[in-house]
Amino acid sequence: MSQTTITNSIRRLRFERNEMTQQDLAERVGVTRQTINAIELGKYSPSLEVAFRIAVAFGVRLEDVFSYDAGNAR
Amino acid sequence: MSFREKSAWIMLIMIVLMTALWTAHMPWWRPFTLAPDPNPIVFHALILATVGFVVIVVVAHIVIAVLAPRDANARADERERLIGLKATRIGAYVYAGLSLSSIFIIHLGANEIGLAYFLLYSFAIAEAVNYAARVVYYRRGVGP
Repeated sequence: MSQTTITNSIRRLRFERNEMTQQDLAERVGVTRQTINAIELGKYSPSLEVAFRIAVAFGVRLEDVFSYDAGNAR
Repeated sequence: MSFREKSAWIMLIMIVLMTALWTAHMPWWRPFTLAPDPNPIVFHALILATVGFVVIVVVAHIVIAVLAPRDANARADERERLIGLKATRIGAYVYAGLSLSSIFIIHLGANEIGLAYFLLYSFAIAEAVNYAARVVYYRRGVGP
């Protein structure tokens, strides 16, 4: 399994924005809904560009969406 | 499940099915002995299997595209492209390995027909591995 040491708050941020759907977020970011789902579940680490686009879609800073757990890094 | 994941499932199932059906039409010993083929029915079975494969794959893709037109029209995003590249690389390694091992098949006494069978199976196996890898990456996730 390609679980990463990068965690994210996408689920919480979607909830806080009136239950924004994965499809809505996917359309704003320009990826498929399945990719948003994979990112949310930690099955895929997006490129820097997509990560920034997700942050912009929520109107927050990148570090408010993604965080890196250096303690679990190899 | 995205359009491309459904597509990968269709391709995987159809490649395995076509290879199995074609093999079933061969005399049971042929894939093992790699002997020349005295029976043209095997060649006809290959043609039928190939045409049938193309028709079924096209129809299946039309069906899943009609059921989810937005998914089908969407361009592949970075995750789908990464999955495609990684799976294709694995399939290419398998094909390269099997193709190179055809040298040993010749040394085992296979003639040109046997070599053709071997390369055809190598291609089918490599493509099955390619699409199986796609399915695994879609299901389990893909890393850098």
